[in-house]
Amino acid sequence: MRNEPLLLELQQVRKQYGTTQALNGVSVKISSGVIVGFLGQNGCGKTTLFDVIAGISRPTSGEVRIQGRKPSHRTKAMIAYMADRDFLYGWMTVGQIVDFYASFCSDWDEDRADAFMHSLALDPSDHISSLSKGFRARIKMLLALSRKAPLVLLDEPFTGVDPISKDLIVSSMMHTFQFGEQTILLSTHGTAGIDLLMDEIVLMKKGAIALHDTTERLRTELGGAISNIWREAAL
Amino acid sequence: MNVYSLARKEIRSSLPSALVFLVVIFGCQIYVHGKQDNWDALGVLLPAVIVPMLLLPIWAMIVMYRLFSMEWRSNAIYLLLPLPIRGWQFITAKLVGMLSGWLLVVVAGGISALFLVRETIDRITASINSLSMIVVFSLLGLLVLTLLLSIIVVFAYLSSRLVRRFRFACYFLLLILTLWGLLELSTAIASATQWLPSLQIDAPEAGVISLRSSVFLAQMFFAAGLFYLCAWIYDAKLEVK
Repeated sequence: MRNEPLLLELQQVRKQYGTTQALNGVSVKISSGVIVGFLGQNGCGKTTLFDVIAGISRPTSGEVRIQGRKPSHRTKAMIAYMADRDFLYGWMTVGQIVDFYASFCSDWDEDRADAFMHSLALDPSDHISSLSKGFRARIKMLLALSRKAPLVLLDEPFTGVDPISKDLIVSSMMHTFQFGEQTILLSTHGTAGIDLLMDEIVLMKKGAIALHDTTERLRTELGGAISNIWREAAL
Repeated sequence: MNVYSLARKEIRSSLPSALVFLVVIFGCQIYVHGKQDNWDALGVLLPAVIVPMLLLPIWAMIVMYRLFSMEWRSNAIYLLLPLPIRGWQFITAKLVGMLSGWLLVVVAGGISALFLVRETIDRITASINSLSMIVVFSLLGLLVLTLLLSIIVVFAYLSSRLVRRFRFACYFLLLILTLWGLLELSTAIASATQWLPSLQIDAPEAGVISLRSSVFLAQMFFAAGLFYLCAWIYDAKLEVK
């Protein structure tokens, strides 16, 4: 897709849960330093694909390589993964969860975390159990983007998030994104307001990749907004 | 740093149940405190010290199951599993959390027993020469047993996460099978290492009590093997779903 060095390579990755084929021969190559949007309807395999890349789910067959390495605890140190689930400990405060998470990450950027804390209007003394879904999403974003990890996986980061929180998250993301050094894979089923972020688009359908191209080329070739493109292609 | 951060979290999670257990022990000790003159030594020590200590490994098993299952039930496993945490670190932190609760119960329960059932303890001390040895070796045995049973719970739980259906049935079955395996293997290892020295304790009424160190050794071998297996399951096989 681009001339930058290859960061992620998937070859014929399949994942089966019982009789359900969640991933059906996914092959994709992602270069360093890009923001890639994974689009598709619910159940098309985006989350399973991210789980497999993050090393928290194992493919039934096929191969995953991150900077040439198979998923292991070494590659986990290179990936900042924010799952779509609500995984924060409710009994912790915002400051405690940040300290807890940071203690495992050698690439943690304290200054960046402080900047996020301020820009996302988070209070370190707030208890997580008392926060709304939007604020929890902000914390998850802070945790993922305060790392200098080469690969950041954001699974449905805007689901259930109000427009103000979404705008805050997107602008913070743009401010802190290390162009050329980090790669962000972002899965979503709604592109409104974020299509300008994406350098490349991967469209998924029934556990396979239906389309993969640069956002620019897709706009030129297919015409119209990205939201229209993926809606048409998904049908 | 990894183990330290995780262990602090686990200590916080296991302490409430340890405190509840401790309150129950205090309740029993306060109840028998007034009965010391009428009851014989065994009648006092059973509810005040012996039964709570024997229940401690079962408490540890419940705590370990809870510490693990909570990670999945609260979805926190989605936070932990993508992090570069090794299996041995994850399991060690849980064991440290459980053991801190265990230690609190043993120390606080022991101190309160010294105050509340002092008369009975004094009576026994006068009749048994090696009481301190018996206490030390009983606690050591209890610690080994607690660790072993906890690791069996971890093994059964992590293995049950590898199947997609009937997880609790699988957990329960593995728990029973591993306990059975422990009995069989401990007996085999203990008889194969009979040459190891035994601890001799003089007890006036029972004569010489002999504690075989090979049994402890067998249990520790079994625990170490299971620990390694659990760490491997976490590193190489475990998935979030």
